[in-house]
Amino acid sequence: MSNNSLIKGSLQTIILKLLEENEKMYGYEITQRVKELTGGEIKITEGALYPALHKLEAEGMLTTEIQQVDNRVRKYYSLTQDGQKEVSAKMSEFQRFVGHLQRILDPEWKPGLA
Amino acid sequence: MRQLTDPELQEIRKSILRKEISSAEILMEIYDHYISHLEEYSLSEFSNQLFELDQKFTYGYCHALQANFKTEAKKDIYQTQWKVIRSYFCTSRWLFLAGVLVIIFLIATQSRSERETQLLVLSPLVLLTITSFIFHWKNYVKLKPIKKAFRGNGIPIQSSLALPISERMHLPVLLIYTANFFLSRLFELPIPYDQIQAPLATLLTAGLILYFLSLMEVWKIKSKTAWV
Repeated sequence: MSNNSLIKGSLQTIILKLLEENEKMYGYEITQRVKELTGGEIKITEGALYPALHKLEAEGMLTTEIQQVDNRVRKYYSLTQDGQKEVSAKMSEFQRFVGHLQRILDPEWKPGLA
Repeated sequence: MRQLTDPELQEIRKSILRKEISSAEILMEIYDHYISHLEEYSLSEFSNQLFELDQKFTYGYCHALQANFKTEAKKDIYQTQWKVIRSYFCTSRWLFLAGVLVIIFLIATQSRSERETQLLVLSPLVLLTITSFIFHWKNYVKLKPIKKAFRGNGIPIQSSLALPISERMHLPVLLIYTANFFLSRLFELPIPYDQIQAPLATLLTAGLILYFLSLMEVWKIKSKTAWV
């Protein structure tokens, strides 16, 4: 599924939502979790993931933790308090957007009718 | 998932070395990504998967990531220190600030000569210098395994978060000569020592002590979450 441009605008929401459900995650784990949840339909590229993670970290939404794993160091990301607040805001914003999009694509569609 | 062999790990490191990354944080994040990904594949698929990863983590991409991270790290350290300084003036920490100021002013009132006041001003700079040595030593120990693993590309590996802290530690120490110049001029001026020189020197000391304490807090905060 060629969905890079579709994912671009929702990547931050995806990351925040995943981190809300999982206490802490590392970069590669996020890509794998998205792949697993969508049956491989959505693939987050490394090219987009790390800049997004670093941006969220710089904005104070995420905090990091360094852990020794085997012979290497792993950087875990988790939500800050601001990040936790942002998840709900982003989620409702995203759901509103999906609702509007649905209305555009299918004018007959009414919320609540799946 | 399998454990990668030493030659495979060597191959990964060689591949990452070619990207000439100097930021320890970026280097280790990419290294972890490579290993986590390649552990999922069999020995026969290793080379192809490594090649694919190299196509994703290109030289340009890694350097853009590194440049952004360094800029954000600088901004982050500046903002954290500023936040810490502001917190000294908040209701919850005013007692701490008052305590520090009382101690400095008490010591200042005990100094009777210009020499003693000069020593008072010098004390936070001496503290910063000592802390700077400890900071660099700790950083050196933390980075030693990475430097050892990734030696050979001639690029000095540094922590992107440690660098701005180190610069901030050096700043007042580097300014010591300028400060010394102005202080010596101040003490040469035919102005009453007790009325102007001593209070000015005390205020300068208080400012430097607060700067030092805030930097220590930034180090403490960042050492919990980052590589410093």
